[in-house]
Amino acid sequence: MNDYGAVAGVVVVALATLVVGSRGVRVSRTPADFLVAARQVPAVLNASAISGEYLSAASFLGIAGLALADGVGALWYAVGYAAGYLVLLATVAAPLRRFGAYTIPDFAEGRLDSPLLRRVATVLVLFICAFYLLPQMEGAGETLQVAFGGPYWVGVVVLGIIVTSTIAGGGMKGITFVQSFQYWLKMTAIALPAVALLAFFHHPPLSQVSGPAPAVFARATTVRFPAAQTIVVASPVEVTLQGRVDATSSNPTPAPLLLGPGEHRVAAGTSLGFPAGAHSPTVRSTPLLSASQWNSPLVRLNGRSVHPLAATYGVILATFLGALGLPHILVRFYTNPDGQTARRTTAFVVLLLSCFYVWPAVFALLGRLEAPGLYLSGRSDTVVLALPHLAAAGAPERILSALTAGGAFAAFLSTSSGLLIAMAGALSHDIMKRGVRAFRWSAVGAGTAMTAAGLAVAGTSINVLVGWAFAVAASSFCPLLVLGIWWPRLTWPGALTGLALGGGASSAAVVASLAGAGRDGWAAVVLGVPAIWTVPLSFAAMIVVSLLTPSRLPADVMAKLLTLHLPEDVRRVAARARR
Amino acid sequence: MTDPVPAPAGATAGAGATAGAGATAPGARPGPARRVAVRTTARHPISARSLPVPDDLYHPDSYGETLLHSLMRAQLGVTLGVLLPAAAVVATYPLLSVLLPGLGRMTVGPLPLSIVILGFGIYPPLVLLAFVYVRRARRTEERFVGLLRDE
Repeated sequence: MNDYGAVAGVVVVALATLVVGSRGVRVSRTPADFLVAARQVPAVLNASAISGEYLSAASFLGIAGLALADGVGALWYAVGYAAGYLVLLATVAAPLRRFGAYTIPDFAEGRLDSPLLRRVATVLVLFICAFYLLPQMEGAGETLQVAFGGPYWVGVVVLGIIVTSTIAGGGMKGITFVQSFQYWLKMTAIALPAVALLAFFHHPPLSQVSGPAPAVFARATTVRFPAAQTIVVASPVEVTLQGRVDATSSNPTPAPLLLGPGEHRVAAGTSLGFPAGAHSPTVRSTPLLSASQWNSPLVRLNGRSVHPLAATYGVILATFLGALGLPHILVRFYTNPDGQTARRTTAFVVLLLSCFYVWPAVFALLGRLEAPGLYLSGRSDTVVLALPHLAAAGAPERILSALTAGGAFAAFLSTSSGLLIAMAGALSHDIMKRGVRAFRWSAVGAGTAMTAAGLAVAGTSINVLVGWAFAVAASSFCPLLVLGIWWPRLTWPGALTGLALGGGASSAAVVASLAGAGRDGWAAVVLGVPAIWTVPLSFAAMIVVSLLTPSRLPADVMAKLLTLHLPEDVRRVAARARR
Repeated sequence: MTDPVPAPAGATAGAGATAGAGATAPGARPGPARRVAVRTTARHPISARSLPVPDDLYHPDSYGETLLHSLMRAQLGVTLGVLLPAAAVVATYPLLSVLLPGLGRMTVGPLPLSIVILGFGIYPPLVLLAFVYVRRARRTEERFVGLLRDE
């Protein structure tokens, strides 16, 4: 499918990003400019930059797709992604800013006086960022593949080049403008098409969401099967075939084919054209959800309802607590002028994210009403990109698909930029010697490595990977920050044990799930939503080991806590008094 | 390199002050000299900002520890006052949906209750709690600063 609207949208976003980013090159001079934009970013600008950076492929495409496939319970991800900032606001925003460290490893060493802890934290930062960056690369590859019809590597390489060059050139100051611009872009790109589709185009009445699953193609629809699929046909249907079904093949010229009742094997890359009014076949591997299944507010794992209550609480824990452990987000909080501004910034982030996350739900709703073909091809992930094509035609179709494709590309760009800044910051600040040159070379090195890795991971689910990055963050950095700020008796052996146990266990569960372990029963919960046990484990380990090692308390705990909690008003006078 | 580059946390104001105090013998009080310095500042016209405290706060045996703990306790109270209601709502909804199957059949207008709550309804309270927290946390700090001023 060569979709000129979408291509135009992606090109405009890419160019605009380069232009806005190049403004930053001229104003970035010192290492502070590069790392924390010299701490002079006002609250609302900073809030939209944080939101722009945070809204990734998982938010823009993933949530709507997952909710379409697995039901309303998947919206817990959206709720958690937004609510995570309420937790961040109420527990760590102001103290972290007042402590005045650049990165989480800085905080770890500064608060607990342990260079070893710093090194472990740096490794975790790189791990979480890499985990989070891969699905962005992959999403970009797939989006451009859908839009251009070209090969997968194009999107990955384009994204890699834009992100790496922007960051190596402008650092954090350049990126602040880009990120906040991209929040508003993404907001427009998802809200406008949603409102237009809801208000101006024909769709079945909303009340049908509570009715049976969509089974009839409202209009002539071509369904493309990126992967091989076994479909079940109930009543005979005449389709246009391009590719191969069972033993019949017609390529490259499409030919008519009568699909009889029963199972049919569709080869990868095949397109089937269904006439208007045709009954949709079903997919054998993922049966359509009934209305009551789809409307359930509980999370389904691997498309199945296994211990849904535990799975739901697992997702809630990971997303609510994961946001405050994401290294690429925390680095942004040091760009606030003071603690109270950090709080205001965070509150605005909650507001901006809440405004955004309403729209994926609308897309899921419309997709459920409108698009049996999305279930059929197993591409429910692309509902946001595909819906404009299904619901509109002509010029509006092209405009809307330009918007959604551009917005999706903006999502990959901004999140990847933030992650790459965090990686380059960790590499140059914590591992290599500091300075602008080291930062630039770290950015180029990490960008190249991640682009190469992005080429290798074609075909894993965006959402699942991002969800796991949250679980690892929630089980490692969240306890470190919360206890480090609020509990005077935390020691470095305690923190180290917690990081190792929580971070290690959740990472192991993630890797095991990736390898295909734990598809059913409690194993699916334990490995698929590890946060439900690794978060308590990490907190408990930090507390118990700290209580056992009171001799390792830093000598100046009091002074450190004062630095964390004392309002700037008081401290400013203190500084003046000492001179 | 210009001056806005802050030293990593270990070298911030608090840590530095204590390190200095630790270097002198515990009996040789550096306090009096510094108190004079504070009074000098107090003569400047910005009266609201001139607080006769902070250096004392950094002494391990001073009333600073008590003050810090009361500030932390107050702030923790503000934090819990926001997070506990949020947690209560979030934790009970999934449970209720299992215990009361009738909840799953409820609709709001044309839409099922679940999508109304998780898709739209949960966000306004979240935003409200966020801004309530910012306000309360600021007030707590102002009260703390006021307390120091009275001291």
